[in-house]
Amino acid sequence: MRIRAERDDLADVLTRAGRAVGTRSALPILQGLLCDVSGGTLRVTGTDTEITIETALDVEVLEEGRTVVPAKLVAEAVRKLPAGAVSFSTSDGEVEITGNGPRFNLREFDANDFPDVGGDSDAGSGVEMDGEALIAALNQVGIAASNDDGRPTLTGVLFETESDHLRLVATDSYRLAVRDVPGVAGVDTTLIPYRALKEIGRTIGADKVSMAIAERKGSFVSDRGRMTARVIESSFPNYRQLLPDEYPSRLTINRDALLEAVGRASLVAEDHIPVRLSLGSGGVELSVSRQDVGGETEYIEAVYEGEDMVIAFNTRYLTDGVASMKTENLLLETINPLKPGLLTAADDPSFRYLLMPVRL
Amino acid sequence: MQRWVGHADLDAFYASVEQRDCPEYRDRPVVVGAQPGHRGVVAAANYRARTFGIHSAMPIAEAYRRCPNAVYLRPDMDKYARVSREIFQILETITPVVEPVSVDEAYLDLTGLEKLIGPPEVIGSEIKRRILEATGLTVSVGIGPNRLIAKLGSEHRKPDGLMVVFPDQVLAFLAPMPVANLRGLGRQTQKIFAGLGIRTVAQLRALPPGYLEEHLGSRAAVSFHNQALGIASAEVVYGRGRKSISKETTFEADVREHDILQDTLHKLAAEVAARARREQLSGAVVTLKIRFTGFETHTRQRKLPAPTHDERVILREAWALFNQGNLPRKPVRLIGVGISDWQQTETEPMQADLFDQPQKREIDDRLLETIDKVAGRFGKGMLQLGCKKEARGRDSS
Repeated sequence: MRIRAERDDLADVLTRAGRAVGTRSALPILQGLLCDVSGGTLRVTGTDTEITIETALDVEVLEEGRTVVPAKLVAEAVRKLPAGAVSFSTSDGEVEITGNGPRFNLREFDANDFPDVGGDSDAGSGVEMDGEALIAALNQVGIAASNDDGRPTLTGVLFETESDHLRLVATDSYRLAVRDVPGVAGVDTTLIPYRALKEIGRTIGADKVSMAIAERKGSFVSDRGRMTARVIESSFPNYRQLLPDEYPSRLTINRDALLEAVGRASLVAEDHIPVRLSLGSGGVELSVSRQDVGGETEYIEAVYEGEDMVIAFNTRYLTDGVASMKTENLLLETINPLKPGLLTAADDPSFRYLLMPVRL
Repeated sequence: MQRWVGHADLDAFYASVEQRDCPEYRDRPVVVGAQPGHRGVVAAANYRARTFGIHSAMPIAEAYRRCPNAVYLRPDMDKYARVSREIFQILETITPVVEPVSVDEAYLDLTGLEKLIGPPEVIGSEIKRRILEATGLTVSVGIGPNRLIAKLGSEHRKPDGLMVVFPDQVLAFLAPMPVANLRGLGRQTQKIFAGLGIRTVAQLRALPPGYLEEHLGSRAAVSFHNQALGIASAEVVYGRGRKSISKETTFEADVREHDILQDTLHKLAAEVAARARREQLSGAVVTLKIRFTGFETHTRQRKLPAPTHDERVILREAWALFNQGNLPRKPVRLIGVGISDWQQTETEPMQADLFDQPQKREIDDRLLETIDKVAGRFGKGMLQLGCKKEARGRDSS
């Protein structure tokens, strides 16, 4: 194959596809990017077999063909060339990359070894959604997804249709995040690793993104490329039972004040030390104390309806939830110190963050 | 009050138990461990066998080469555990503060027993006499003002020895000892000492201050300096001794099949969990140990959000470590699993789980209790929990 393209464009498609390439893959071929040139287009594919990212670029084609090149090295090599046109060609088992003087000669892999990771034969047109809204929603629920590969189910984000709209859910079994995305309908229930979903924004994010599920894979397509992920084939825990219709106690509190206070408490807390919230009419007292270190206490005025109660939370989990809501006032609803508490934005019920307390 | 710490260490424990039970082995070298011709190592060798240079952890083939005429026996861990329990019960007739180190070794707090039993020598002979009478086994006992001296004392007069070191004898006791006897002396440190020409504790003690720090770093330097002066902790903590519970197995032939590895881990996890439950311990760290063809050995650890003694959790974590531990893909020679980092579940604040219903936990506890009861009556492995093989298949290509 032989092509010519602008350095920045070429570096961009290589880098984005390269984000799917694992750093510790067992198979050497998976350290490579598949570059396929046909009909005036360069298609770049990177995969770790769980996640596949494909990008495309219209280029000047001198000769069609396929090759697999070492992902990190090629992307960096192109990026470090002088600005302007870059030519990229293969011969005798090597890829030559030149542009305004410098010339890289890099060994290529055998393109026939590259795994068959799907390609264009995707069924259906998929469900189209606003890209920015999808990425924002994923970022919000993603904080609750687990990164413990020992429990694969919990590393995923659940996509499901709730009455007339899309709902995203994630949990690491200590907290649960539920995000309703209005205006998107017709998504089949599926569980996709958050590790893959968080790449959408960085690799193929665009105004419009459409999602399709086929052959145990979920794929997200935009005009910037395609991200495909193997779905997690286990059933998501029954989260609905955790969300009661009503809570007997409710705290309405300024979000920034709470976030700053928990930030101070976290300085002392570390590890598994929880922050205690003493809820009473007029506000909440936050306190944390740690053997051999000391403690911190402060009072935030707020509106509290309900019985006085002391409930404790892991500071990191609480921080994650509060920080994820960009709003003026938050609601913290509770039942008792042993049952999960619910955080929502006072003016926006579309995102719910349920948090299991620490038993004192 | 003068602190007295005792260290009791059974002599060639496994081998001695076998010899006791089979008088025809009495005057012969006895090696307990893997069978010659198979793979594995020496678990214990009696003193007769040791004269051939055989020691524990030596590959069995090497032992056999040195002494083909020895009696080679497979370990009978159940029997040793029974004898061990008997011994610890006897130790507890001497003092309630017994800190087990392993099945055949313990520290004892002997402080303040003079009026009850007698001076340290008498306490020591009493320990030896009671164990010999009840079990027919000999034990070496060291008694000193702290743990280090007690331990070195029991080693000093092995086998069947008794050594009491009074505080004013500590320095003289230590002086002629090879530095190799001190605690925390690895192969590297040993080389450094050899390079510096330091062979005895006396030589170590005579070094100018700062000299050791230059060669070993400050932490090790402080440790050896203290040891050379006989300074060590005199604290004995009841029951603390065991830091981990683990089980491992060496395969007859190297194994590649994930099914076999997972089933083996399952069995080992069940044994570890049952042991933990018997000792009323829950560990928050799961460790996977794996040895590949060519003896290349790796361990991987994972800290759990909550301590466990449930084999399902132990297996799940160990299997995840196996798959995600970035381990080489080679045939496996040995695999093992363990738990450590004991935590008291009740007193510390604990992050609760959204999906963990208290009723379910109760059912789980009853289930595990039943398994232990069945094992107690009908033998181990009669009843085992099915573990969901959630992660199987992944990465097995």
